[in-house]
Amino acid sequence: MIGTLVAGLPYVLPMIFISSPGTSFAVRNPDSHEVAAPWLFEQLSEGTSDKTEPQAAHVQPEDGLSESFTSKTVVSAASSRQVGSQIAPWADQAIVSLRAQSPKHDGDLLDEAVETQTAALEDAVELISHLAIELPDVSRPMISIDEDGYVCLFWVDEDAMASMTSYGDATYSFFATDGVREIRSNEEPLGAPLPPKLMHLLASGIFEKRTLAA
Amino acid sequence: MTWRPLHSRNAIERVRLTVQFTEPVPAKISRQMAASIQKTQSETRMQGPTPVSTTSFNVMVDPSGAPQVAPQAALPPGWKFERFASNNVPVEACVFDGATFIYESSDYHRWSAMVQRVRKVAQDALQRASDALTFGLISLEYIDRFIFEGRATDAAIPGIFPGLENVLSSEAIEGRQLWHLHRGWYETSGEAILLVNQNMDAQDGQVLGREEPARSLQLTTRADLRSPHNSLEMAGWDSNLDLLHQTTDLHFKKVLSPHLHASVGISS
Repeated sequence: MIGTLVAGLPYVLPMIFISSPGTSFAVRNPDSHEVAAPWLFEQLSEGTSDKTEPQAAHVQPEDGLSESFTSKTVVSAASSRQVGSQIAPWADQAIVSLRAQSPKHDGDLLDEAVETQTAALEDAVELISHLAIELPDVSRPMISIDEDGYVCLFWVDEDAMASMTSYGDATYSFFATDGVREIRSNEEPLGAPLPPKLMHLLASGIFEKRTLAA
Repeated sequence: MTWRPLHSRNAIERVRLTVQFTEPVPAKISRQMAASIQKTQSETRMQGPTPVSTTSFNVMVDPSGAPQVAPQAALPPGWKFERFASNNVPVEACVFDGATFIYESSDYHRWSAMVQRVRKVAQDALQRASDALTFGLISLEYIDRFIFEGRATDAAIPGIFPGLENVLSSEAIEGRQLWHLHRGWYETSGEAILLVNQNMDAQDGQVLGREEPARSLQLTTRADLRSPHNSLEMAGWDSNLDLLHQTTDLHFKKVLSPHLHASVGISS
C-alpha cells in the first residue's frame, strides 16, 4: 500500500469562542498561526480521539471514506488559554436586546415599516455578529430604530462619530468621521468584510473602551 | 440545563472550502494565482502573500507491515493570504501549498455571502489554475460547536443528538464520560456522487468565571466531490458549491435535535 503523508499545510484559524455575555469559552489561541491539514481537526482538550495516529498525517485509503478525518492532534490542557477578548463581549447582549424589539403597528412606526423593521433587525443582528469578530475591541454601539423601520448602530465620542444602518435588504450604509476626514457609503453588502477605510477608522481606537448605554 | 450554539445566530466556528488538484501546480501558475488574489487585496483586505512550505513523504507498507518512509519530490513553495481582525487575529485565510487550495473563515454569516466572498477573493486564481490543470476534489466543511450550560458531567447527548443510544456507552450518553463518533458514507445526488464525513467530538474547556470545565460538542460536517466520478470544471463551480452546501446543511439538520433548530436559524 502506498499512501502520502503531507505535513505542513493547510490552515486552521485560531479558535474563537464566545459564551453568554461577560464570559467566554476556552480554549486555544495559538501565538503563531496554526498550521494543520484540512483533515486534521484539532482537539481543544484531552478528548477521546485517535491519539495514536501521527500528527498532520494523511493516508489515503482505497475507498477514501475515512480519509478526511484519519488524523488527529491532541492539544494538552497546558497549551490552552482563554481567548475571551477575541470577540466583542457586548455582542450577545446587544443581539438579545435587538431581538427583544418586536415591531409595533402603533406609535410612530408606520404600518409599512413593520415588515422592513423585522428584516432590518435581523440584518442588524448579522451586522453585530460580524462587528464582534472584526472589531473585538470596539465599544458597544448605541442602537436606534427610525420610523421607516431602519436600524442604526452608532458610536459618538467628542468629535468622532460612526453609524451603520441596516435596511432589511441585506445591505447597509455607513457614515463615519474622526473630526478630520469623513467616509461614507450608501450601499454595502451584508456579510462582506468591512470596507478598508471604515475598518481602519473603527479600529483606530476612537471608540474603544467607552461603553455607551444602548 | 441545555445545549446552546456557539454564537447567537448559529453554531458555526469555521467553514472551510478545499480544492485539490490532481497533480502539483507548476510554480508559474502558482505565482499567477497569488498575483490574482493580490490584485484585489486593497478591497478584500487579504494580506499576503506569505510563503508556505510543505514537507511531503511517501509511506510504503511492506508485506510484513513495517512502514517505510521515503522523501518525495518537494512541492513548489506555496503561499497564504489572510484577513485580520482589529486585534490581529486572522479571521479568514487562503492557503495554497502547490497542490491544494484552502479557503477558510471564522467570519461566516450566510451562504450567499460566502459564495460572493470566495468569488471575489479566489475565483480568478482558481480559474487560472483550472485552465491548465484539473481539480481532483472540491470539499466544503462546516465546523459547528455547541456548549452545555450546566455541569460537564451532566451533558447528556439526547439533548442535542438524539438517537445515539445504541452506538455509545451509557456513560457517554449521560455525559459522564467524553466520547467521539466519526462516520462517513457515500451518497448520490442526481448524477453526482458525494463523500460525506460527519464527526462528533465531545470536548471539555474552561469558561471564564467558572472553575469546573464546560462540555462542548464539536460537530464537523464535510461533503466532498471527487473526480473522476464528478465533473469538477470551473463551469460548474457554482452548482457544485451549492450541492456541497445543501448536503452539509441537510446532514447538520438531520443530526441535530429539532428543538435546537431555531437557535441556529433553520426551520424544522
